[in-house]
Amino acid sequence: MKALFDWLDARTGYRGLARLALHEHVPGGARWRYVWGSTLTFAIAVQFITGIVLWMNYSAGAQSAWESVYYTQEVLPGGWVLRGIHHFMAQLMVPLLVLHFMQVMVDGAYRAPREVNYWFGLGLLGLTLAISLTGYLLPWDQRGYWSTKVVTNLISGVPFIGDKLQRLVVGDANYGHQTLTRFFAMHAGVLPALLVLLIVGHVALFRKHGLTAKLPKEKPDAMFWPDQLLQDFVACGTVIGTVLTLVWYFHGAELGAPANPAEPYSAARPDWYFMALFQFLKFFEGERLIWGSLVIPGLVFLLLMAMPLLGRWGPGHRFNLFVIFVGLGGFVALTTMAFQKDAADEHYQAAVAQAKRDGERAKHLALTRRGIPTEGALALLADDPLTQGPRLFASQCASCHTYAGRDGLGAPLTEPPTAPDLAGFGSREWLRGFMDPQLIETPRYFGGTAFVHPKAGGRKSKMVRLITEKVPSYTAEEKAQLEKILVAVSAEAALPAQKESDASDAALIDEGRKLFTADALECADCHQFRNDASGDGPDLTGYGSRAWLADFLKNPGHDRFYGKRNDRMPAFGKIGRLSPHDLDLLIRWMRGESPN
Amino acid sequence: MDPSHEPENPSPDVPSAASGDRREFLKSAACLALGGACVLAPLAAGVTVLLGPLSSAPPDGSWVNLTKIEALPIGAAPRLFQVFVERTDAWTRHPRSAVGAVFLERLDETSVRAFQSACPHLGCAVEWRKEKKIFFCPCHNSAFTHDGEISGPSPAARGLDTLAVEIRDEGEVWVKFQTFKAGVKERLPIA
Repeated sequence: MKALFDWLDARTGYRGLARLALHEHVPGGARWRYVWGSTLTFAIAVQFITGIVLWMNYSAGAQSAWESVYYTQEVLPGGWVLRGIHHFMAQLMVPLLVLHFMQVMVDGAYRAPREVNYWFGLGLLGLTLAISLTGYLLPWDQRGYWSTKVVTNLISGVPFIGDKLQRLVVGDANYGHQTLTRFFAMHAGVLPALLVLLIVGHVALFRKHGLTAKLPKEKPDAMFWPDQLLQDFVACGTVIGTVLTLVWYFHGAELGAPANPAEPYSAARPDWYFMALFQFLKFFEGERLIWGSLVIPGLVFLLLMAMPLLGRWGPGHRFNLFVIFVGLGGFVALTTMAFQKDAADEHYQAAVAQAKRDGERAKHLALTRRGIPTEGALALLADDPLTQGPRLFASQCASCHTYAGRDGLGAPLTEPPTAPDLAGFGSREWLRGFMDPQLIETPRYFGGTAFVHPKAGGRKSKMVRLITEKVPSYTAEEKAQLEKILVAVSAEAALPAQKESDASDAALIDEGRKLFTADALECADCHQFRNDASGDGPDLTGYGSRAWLADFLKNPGHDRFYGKRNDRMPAFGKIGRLSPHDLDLLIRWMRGESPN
Repeated sequence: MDPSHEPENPSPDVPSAASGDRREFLKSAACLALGGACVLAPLAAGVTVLLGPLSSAPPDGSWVNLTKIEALPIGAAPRLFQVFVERTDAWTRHPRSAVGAVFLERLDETSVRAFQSACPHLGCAVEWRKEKKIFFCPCHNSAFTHDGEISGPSPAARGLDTLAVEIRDEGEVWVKFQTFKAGVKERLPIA
């Protein structure tokens, strides 16, 4: 064995190289404060390892980026851990960079003769942030899409060449394939290559000038191998341990709903380390924007660049440290402010929750459909009643109706409802409430309608009068009949949730139907029900079924339904407010017909 | 110089200083020129393709039919409509591609107002906040009145972007969907 290594050394000189790499002189002995550079090198190595495997499973296209990330994350074994490590290591690199930077500043290691190495370090900081920024868009989810749009719009503010620069970065007038291919080439190719070049220079210059010892020396001098390296590896172990804990705790990195330019995303935020800049921009009005986006950050960067030169003169070092600590304080303050504002903003919270639901739903649909159609994951959501139903309800119905007391999407209504709550419409429970003298006149049912509050000179509707005047004095037998009729009418809807009880109560339903048509409780006086009779009240044949709801929504003022007595319910089909596709989605959602 | 008289290991300082300097200079210059020329071809090809997006046609927006005028009750709050257009994204042709969203509001019997939902500040989508009757951008808190004007101190440099509206036969509401440059006072179409 030794002979083999001897031969290898004779041909390559690897022992000399290893000695050169490991026999670094550490004046004053190994110290914990020297570990940060090594942890960053380690972090970058982790990003390369995980990044390259992610790359092997990534497809940079507007209809394949989210889809391929979904596949990596949800289908490939261990994919969520891989992506999680890549994501959380990127998060952790920023504090590691700050620690490394602070150590260099406090120990004065940025001053002559190490100016160039300090500038390399600043370059590495910039590159790391640029890699994070370009990586944020790649999953092509709502968050990455809308936050990166802000960044590319900021680019258009660069004097003289801004518009052209923006066009080059985006690759087209709108976001699309070309944006992803460019961001991906930057994220995985150009920027990491530059990063490696700068790291080589950074380490070479570090070795050339040697370590800046923290004085006074506490211990005798030591060697990098193994003393300092041991501490470095303990630190690296802590870093990867932290990352794995975060991956486990959050169950990997988030993958939100697929990017949709037509679906406004009210929770567009950059990654946490850009939140200070995000908050900063709020303070600049109108065309002063450029001060917040370019001028002041640019000046800060120039000041950082000048620090080794400033550090040469008497109080320069102290001035630098003062600036650094004030800057860090400002960064922390702005970041805290941004997060506090969001935490207190219920609109923001609702948007985050909505995006999370959509993301989970998209992943769920992709999994249960055994794949995503070629048009991409957006098509899955566009045809999903559970996704579109609540939105349609909120935009079309919630100006009058509620759904379980809310607007369908979970937000409260600003004004009291003027029409019934439609959660569970057509179910036995809903109908029992409707026929309840205590409930019919509440806002949950007809409390807000003209049926209860007629125009001057009018009367309450016949139905309301029946429920409030006659039902309370029903005999026990009549009450039992009413229950049977309710069950029969509810069965018309054939709600998926009632499938079993409808089947087991077939006899009861049959009885109810007979009672209805035999006019036991005056129902047939007004309502048509599985017969050719006609009356003033809405036709209850197929009440609450898909076909009944479709016809009703198209024109509630039709003779078959409310006729002239229709309150304010619009004829959605007549005026084209709802396309047949949307109508179908809304109805299926209301009926609880959402497929898994 | 006859090559046969050349020493085995020519040392650079053998020829006279003046002619040697010139030779060295010419060699270095030729080296740089040739080296430069070698990379010029791939560089030029690369830069040409890289700058490709700059030569695409100037934007002109596209007319889309969003709804019917009867579907917009007079006095109702502005309503958001998703916009789908036929679009070719690089190599993919989409018959119906989601490109943005527009707020529509019926002003009177015959007219409809359309606002681009992209915030003129930095392009996030503004929301209609019904409780305050303002348009609000959830990114940097730009606020706009019901009429789209800047409301109070606001990061946006201009009011919401109005889009051209035409009511065509049988009350179809057609909107010219355009995107405008962010962060500036003027309304400059970019897509």
